[in-house]
Amino acid sequence: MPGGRKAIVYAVLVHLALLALVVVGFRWQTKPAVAPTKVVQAQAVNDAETQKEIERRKKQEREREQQETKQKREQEERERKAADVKRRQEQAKITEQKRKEEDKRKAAEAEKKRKDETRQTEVKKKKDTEERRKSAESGLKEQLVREEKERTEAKAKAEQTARAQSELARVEGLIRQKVERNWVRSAGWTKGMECVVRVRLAPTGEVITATVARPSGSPAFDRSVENAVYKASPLPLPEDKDLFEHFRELELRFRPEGQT
Amino acid sequence: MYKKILLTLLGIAALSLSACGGSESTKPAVDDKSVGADAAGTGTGTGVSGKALEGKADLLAKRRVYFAFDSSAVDEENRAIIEAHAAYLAANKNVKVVFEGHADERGTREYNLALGERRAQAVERMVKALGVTKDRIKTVSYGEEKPVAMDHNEAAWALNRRVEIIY
Amino acid sequence: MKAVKHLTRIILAAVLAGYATLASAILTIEITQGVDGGLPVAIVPFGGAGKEQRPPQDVAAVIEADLARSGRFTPLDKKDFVSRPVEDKQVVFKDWRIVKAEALVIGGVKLVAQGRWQVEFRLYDIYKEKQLAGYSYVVAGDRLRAAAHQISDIIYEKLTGEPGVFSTRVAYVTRERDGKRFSYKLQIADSDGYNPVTVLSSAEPLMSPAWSPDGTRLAYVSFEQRRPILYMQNVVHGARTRIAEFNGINSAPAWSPDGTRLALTLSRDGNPEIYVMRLSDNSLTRLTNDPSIDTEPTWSPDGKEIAFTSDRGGKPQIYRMRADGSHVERVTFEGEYNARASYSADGTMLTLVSGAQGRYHAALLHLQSSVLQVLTDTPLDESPSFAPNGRMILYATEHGGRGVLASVSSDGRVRQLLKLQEGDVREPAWSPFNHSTPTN
Repeated sequence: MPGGRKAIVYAVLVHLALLALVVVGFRWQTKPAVAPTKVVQAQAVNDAETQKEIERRKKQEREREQQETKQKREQEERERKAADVKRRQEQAKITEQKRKEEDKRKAAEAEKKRKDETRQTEVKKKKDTEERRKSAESGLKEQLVREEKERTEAKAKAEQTARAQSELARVEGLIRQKVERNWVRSAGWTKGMECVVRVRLAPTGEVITATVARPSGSPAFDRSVENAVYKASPLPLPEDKDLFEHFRELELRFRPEGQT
Repeated sequence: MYKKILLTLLGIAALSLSACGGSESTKPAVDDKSVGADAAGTGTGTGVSGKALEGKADLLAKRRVYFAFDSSAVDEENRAIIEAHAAYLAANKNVKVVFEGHADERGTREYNLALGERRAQAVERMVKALGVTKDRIKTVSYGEEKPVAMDHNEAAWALNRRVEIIY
Repeated sequence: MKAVKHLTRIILAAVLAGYATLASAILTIEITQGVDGGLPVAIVPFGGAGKEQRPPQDVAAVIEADLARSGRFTPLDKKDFVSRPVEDKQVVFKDWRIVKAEALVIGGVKLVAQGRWQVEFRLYDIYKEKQLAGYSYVVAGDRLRAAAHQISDIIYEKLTGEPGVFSTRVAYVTRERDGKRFSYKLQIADSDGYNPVTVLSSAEPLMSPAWSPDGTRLAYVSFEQRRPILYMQNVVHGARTRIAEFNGINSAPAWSPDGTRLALTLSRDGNPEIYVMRLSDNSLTRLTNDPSIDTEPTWSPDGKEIAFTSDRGGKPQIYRMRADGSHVERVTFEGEYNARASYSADGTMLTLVSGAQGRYHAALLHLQSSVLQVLTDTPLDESPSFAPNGRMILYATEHGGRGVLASVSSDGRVRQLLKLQEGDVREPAWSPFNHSTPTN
């Protein structure tokens, strides 16, 4: 992987640098101080020997200098080479990065392309469906209109029934309340007693007749019940006159609850 | 050392005095206030108030014993009165006595009639236990019918819950 | 469009018809609540002959007070009357529907001879617009109240289906100051406390009067011998006998419903126990056997049970047993103190004194449900007893520092003080329906 390679390269470089440093350092350390060559004032003693020595020393010197220069050049060569390597590695790195970016871009492009294509196909699909629908619609419109109409009608009908039912319940409640308000029960009834009164109403709500259909067994109780109905007359009726039929004849079942 | 002896002597004297406090004399009670104070050694002059120990004659003069509400139990104070009467009866064998039981007005009359009887019987039992024979004792109950106090409050009711000792 | 509307209506009607047929053939409405109160009755002041002859009693006022006291009626306010008829032909039913009266009473009192008055009345059902009753009496001036009570009975019975108790009487004890001492009387008066007649006078206390079922005799406790002894006295001619004078207490007489036996409390065996005495031979049977106080027996209307007070549980409570003394069971569990029970005529209730925290109230125990209903808020009630129709309870209480009698309707709604007598009044006992009048 690129990351790994980079690391190795760096490591090598570092080692080389270190090594160079060490070598140079070594070189530095071992470079003798150039001591001034003492010219021994030779006495005309053994000039040949001294001359030989001087020649030898000169030769040594020359060799040494040559050696130095050689080493210098070698060192420079090495450094140059290291730098080269470094440069090359860096170059490689850059190339690598460039390549990566290129890859990325290419991938992004490809992705974009793919997305575009998908979108396009979707758009196309929608278009198709739309066209199909439009074509179908024009054919269905009449049917839908018909269905809508039927639905509205049924709804209205249901609402009317519900209204009527709630109106019936409301009026039932009003009748019950009015009769209860007027029913004076003096003591003498027990829980479980029941008296059913059949009532006939005029369209005004006026009580025409109220007769005991099922007596309770206590004439006083029955009378209190009949009186309640008469005192409550006229009974409330629904506003819709058409619903009066429902109340023309009523049964009121008196069944007291609570403590005797 | 002497103080101790003196105190002991005083104590003995006090005891003997209290024992025969009521026997022969008709004088009112021995005032034991001082005895109490000395024995306790407080001597500050405040606080300790004793109860007058009544003489037998005084107890005999009491012809009523009282009761708590809805109860026929005899408390200490009333027991002393009854004992005095029992002693008197024991000493005078030809005397007859009637214990008349009463109740306060609260509650129903018939139940109170029974309650009055229970109270009278409580006194009778006590007296019989002290040696008085049945043939000399009569018990009667008036229930709530003969109150001595007419008000409708606790003070009156307390006075009506009683047994009368009638010779 | 109209066709559609019409169609809708037809459909609707069909739907409704369908709904209706599903429910029932006819609409039924359940009525479960009403207004608890007295039947609204209008009592028009009775007419008279002329202003110079005013009857000694206001008959209409007596009737109105009777009906109100029963708790079953609410006499309407005369201020609201639109008309005041005194004769049948003057009655306009519409006038009474306006004030929501359910019944109407009209009448008149007229002098017809020296000291003799003719009393007439009519009772109407307003909504049926018909007369329910109408009678005419001729009575002496001192019987006008009796006539009024009889009219109240008729009105009561016609409108409630139950017998009225306004012609019954009450027996009770009075105590008056006599110098330093007291004097005691056993008296019998009208059900409203009027016209008292003394049947016994004593310098010693009297207690527990009890009517025999045929209304001819009273049993009672007298202290005239300086101890409680039981007597029985004929109310009409005053003859009396001693029934029980054993050692100890002789008290709490209670007649069996057939009038042949008397339950009573005797402590001859050491503590108060309940006995039954057969009146034919004075034979005694002991029913209770318990070291506690057992007293205040009362017979159930069928004669099979006796309820009584006992403190065998610590405090006085009501127990009941079979008439032979077996199967004793406790009946009251609420309150600290329950005593002096007596049965209603239908046997479903006991009236008693119930006490808690030092306050003693007349109360009702519904035997079926064991519900205890306190009827008053006065703290020193005693001796409650039922009217013979079971709808009212008479009891003694304290008012203004003295003992008085009061009545309360059995639903607790209407309470009235009876006419106040002199002195302290206590120990009321309501006569049965058939009662006798003492001749003085």
